[in-house]
Amino acid sequence: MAVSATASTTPASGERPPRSLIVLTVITALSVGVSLYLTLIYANTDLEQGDVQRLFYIHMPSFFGAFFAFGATVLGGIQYLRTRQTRWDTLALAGVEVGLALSIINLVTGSIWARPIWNTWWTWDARLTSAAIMVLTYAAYLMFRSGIENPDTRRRFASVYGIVAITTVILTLVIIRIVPDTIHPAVIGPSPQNAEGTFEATTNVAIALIPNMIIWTTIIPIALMWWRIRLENRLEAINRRKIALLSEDNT
Amino acid sequence: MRHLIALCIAALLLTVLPASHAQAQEADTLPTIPYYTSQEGGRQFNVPIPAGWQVDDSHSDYLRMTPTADAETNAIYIMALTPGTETEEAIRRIDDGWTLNRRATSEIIFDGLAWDLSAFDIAEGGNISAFMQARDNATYAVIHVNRNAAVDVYMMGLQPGIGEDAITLDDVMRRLYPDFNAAPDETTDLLLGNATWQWSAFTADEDAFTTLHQQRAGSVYAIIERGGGETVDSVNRAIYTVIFGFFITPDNADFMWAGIIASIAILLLLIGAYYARHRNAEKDLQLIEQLESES
Repeated sequence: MAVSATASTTPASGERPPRSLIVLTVITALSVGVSLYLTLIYANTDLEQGDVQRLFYIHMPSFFGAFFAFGATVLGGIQYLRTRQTRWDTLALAGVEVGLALSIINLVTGSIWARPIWNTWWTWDARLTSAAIMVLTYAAYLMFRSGIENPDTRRRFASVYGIVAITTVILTLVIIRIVPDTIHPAVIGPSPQNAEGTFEATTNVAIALIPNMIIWTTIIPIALMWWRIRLENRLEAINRRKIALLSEDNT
Repeated sequence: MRHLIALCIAALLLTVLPASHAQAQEADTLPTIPYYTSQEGGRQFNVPIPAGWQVDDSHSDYLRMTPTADAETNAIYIMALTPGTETEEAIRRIDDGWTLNRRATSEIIFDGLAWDLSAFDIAEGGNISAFMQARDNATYAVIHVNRNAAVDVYMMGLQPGIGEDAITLDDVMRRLYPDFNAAPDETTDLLLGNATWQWSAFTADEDAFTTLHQQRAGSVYAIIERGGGETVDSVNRAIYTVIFGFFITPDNADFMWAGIIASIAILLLLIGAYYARHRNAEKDLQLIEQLESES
């Protein structure tokens, strides 16, 4: 009896995703094309830094995209602790996975940019260190989460961890204002005194930057998170069905 | 859902505010010196246009700058060349009919960047000061040409070797005119845009010499004119504007492509992981359905 009840809630194997998700996915794919066009063709070459400066149009928006995704984790965590509804925990998990991928893009593009501009792949600068801590913190979220077997304990722990972990994102965002001895340039407001690799935010830069910010900060994270939530729901449903089958076998 | 919409609005604000702030910063930018930027892809150079000079970029081999008031006899040529190009070869791009006699060579450092400096006489009349720099898989040349046969105009700089005495103007003069031996008739300090320079007038072997030089950290940088000194100030300002303001846009497109490919690869890896998990889940489901039917 339990099996048939669960089976009825498990989507059939070939079920199509909702129309809105398909539309969003198409928009996302087109947006990535637009992002590449703006980055590689529309934006002028930075005269002092050369073509490598174009990575900025992905580097900064991907950080804010991660911020958005990790923000969803905070929202999911708070709501789960309030309501105990698993869909909020699923949102939190999707936020971490997508945010982590975007944070890694942020770190990798920053490191590749730094090689010709700072003459090093990595330096233990305040912002770089805080960004690395942020990535490791969220990677640890996934590791800890997979290590807890009891679903309720896992979700409670993950919710609290996800809420607390946002401090590493905020720290990364504001650290160049707190620690003035940094070579990382700032785009929002004046760069720190020791910043290396700064550039002027001209109209051309702003026109290329604003759509990239929208694409990487909202469209890409939302589409990926939506697919991840859908996948998690499916995994959960199959898992429930598996448990039901096993319990039926045991009885 | 309402929360998600609120989060999206917050993200959009997060998106637009930094970019609009960045644009607002543009208004605070100070007026800049006009620059000419060459369009040669990886060998792109940028050069300031000296005040009172004009640019002619109609020639494919070089950029030509001339003073508006004296375009016939005075010009600075800037070019990006294949690595290893010799100075004479660069000059022949301007005019391959000239007979060149090398007069002096030197190496000088401006803003930490070393330039090979050569002075030539043109047998047909006039002289040349050529600055060459090998950098970023290219050779860059900044060449001043004086076509006025009635006067000589050279730019020469000398720096002392390790343990050697500081260079004097006499050392520079003797590099160009080995028999030169004269004390200045008149000397004046001139405060120019880039520092205080010393203007000197000499008479040697019935020739009048005018020099404008600067002594800095043991080195001497000088513009020397054998003549009345009508062009020395203009040439000095123009050459130093060009040399100090000259910069090369680095060719680092490979790094850009590496960053773009890495970004797309990370996204594809995430999507691929989702797809693999989805496929595995479907296999699990098929197995469950099979077990259910068997039981």
